[in-house]
Amino acid sequence: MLKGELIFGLLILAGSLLLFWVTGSFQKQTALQGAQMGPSFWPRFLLGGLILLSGIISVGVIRRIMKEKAWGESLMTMDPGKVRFFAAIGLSIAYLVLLPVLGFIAITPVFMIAFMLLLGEKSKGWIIGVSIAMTAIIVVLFTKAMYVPLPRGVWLFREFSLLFY
Amino acid sequence: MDIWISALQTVFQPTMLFFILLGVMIGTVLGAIPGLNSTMGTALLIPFTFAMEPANGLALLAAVYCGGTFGGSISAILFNVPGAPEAAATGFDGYPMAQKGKAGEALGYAIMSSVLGGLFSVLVMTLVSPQLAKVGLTFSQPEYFALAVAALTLISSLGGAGMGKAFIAGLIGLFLATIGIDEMTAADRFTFGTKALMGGVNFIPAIIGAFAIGEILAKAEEGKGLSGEHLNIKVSTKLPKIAELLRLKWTILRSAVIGTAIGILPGVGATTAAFIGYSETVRWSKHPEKFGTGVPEGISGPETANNAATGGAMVPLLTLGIPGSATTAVIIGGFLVHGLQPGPMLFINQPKLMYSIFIAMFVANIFMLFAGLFVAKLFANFRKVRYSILGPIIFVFAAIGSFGIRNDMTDVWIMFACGLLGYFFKKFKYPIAPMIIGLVLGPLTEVSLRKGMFMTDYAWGPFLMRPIAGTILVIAVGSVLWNLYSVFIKKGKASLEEVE
Repeated sequence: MLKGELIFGLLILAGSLLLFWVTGSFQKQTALQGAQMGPSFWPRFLLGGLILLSGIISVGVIRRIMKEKAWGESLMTMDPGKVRFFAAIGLSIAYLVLLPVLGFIAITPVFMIAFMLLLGEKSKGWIIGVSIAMTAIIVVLFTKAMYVPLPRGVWLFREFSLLFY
Repeated sequence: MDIWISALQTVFQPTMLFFILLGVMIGTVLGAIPGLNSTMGTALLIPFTFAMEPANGLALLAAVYCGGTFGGSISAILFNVPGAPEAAATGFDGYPMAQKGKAGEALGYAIMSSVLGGLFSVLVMTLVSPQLAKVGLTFSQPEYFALAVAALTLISSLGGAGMGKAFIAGLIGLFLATIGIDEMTAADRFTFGTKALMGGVNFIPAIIGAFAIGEILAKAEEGKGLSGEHLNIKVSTKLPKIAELLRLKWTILRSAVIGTAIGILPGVGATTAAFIGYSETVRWSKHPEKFGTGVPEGISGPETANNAATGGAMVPLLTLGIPGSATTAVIIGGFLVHGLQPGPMLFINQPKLMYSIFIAMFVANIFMLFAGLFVAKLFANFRKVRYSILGPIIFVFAAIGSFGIRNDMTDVWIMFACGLLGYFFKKFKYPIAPMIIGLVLGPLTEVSLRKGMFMTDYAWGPFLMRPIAGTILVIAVGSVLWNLYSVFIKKGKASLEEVE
């Protein structure tokens, strides 16, 4: 846990340093040359604060690791919880990638069924009923009642979506 | 006086009362569903109001506005998914209270606070509209900057002993708000050539992601409460007793004043009001360390303020014709379809209509009590559903709610990225609330600072020494120093006890 916290702190530090370097290109893009508070002023102030604080936090975590002699703790142990966590991330990414390709109505019931199974739902009636009913409710509520468009997908999937919204 | 009696007769017609109730119900339901909001609702209803009497139509729109501002807190409390951005601060304490099995109490506090905040602001709007509008217009960039800084100082109270982590979270939120085209110089900041990021990071997907997706991922990993445990939970909204409300009297009164005042300022709406309301509640509390764990003050503070902002935002609209928020900008359309131009002349030409709107908003806030109870009961039933079913439903609503903002998948990816960030924040004990506060107040802070400094030719003295701005800043800085001092005193005592 402490090693994970250290890595997270160091990632914030490294990211802030990198973004601070990126701010160097802002002044070149602006017409207001010489302005005392240009486009990089505020981000640099914030990133400077982040660099300082994440550095202090990271040093504090290193001191705790040394005190608790936790250098040996493993980051890569896979328990069922971690498997479920990574599977949930994978499934979510797959859904978000496929949403504009297959369209909301085609992919959402499949995603919901897979996610419910992943979270350990056992009732087949609930799984199928909820995934179909929720998709239908969202389609009607968003596209018919409130005129909020949903992703339609491409090619044949677009034609399929057009049958409903 | 005759005008008032005539306006009362107009409002207490069965048709008008029906439209007010309908508006409050529609607004509350729309507010409670992520991705839909009262601005959208008022915009869609404008064509329908064309066929109505102007007073009925405008009362309907005002009622949707009142209901929508409250509705977002229902889903924020029950599922940690704010239905609307102004409800995000309500979730800071509302959701922890619901997790303790007190969802009914949390909803009760939210409903009562909303009603009282709304009634207060309508009363103020009715009595001193023109005078307040003039004061609001004297606010300039330094005052806006001071207000934003005052709200940001809340971050120092939210971290407890882990103040460093709270400040990191706040700075990340403020940084995320800088992504996109710079408002003052048109420089492209941190978009890395991505066109969709040029418009900036919208805070609604970020809020939804940080709270809802972070929670879903954490629950998936924990594996607790995924099946069965929630089935026997009974959620019935419990309105607070008089004694409990009296205990919150100063919180409610303070937030009502703050909300009304913020609502009056053009361009600063209910969301900022809610965060400043929460911030001031924490600042004045004797137990700031308890906030975020589910305390009633943490619900009442922001919820009173955001609904008080609805009445406040109507002040510049009705008296000067300037909208105080996005929804009131849409409501101008409601006036225009009836050939009415909001502004000072309306008080002279159509006084009965103006006073009818005041009374209609008063009635709408009272109806909100019943509509709130009904809609909260409806949504509370979802909490009985086990998380293995509820989790995927929340995920889909979060994704579609984010997509609906600009019809752009980038917002959905921002929502997911903020969800991952929210998960790691939770895991490594970084508070999420400061990040959201930073993201919401970031643009106001940066723009008011840079514009204000430009106005004073980059001289700090004239920028900071204005009476209102200076007073607010002194109080804000003083409270941060006090918090730092308190933390060091506590740490000192703890280490002394260790030595002993």
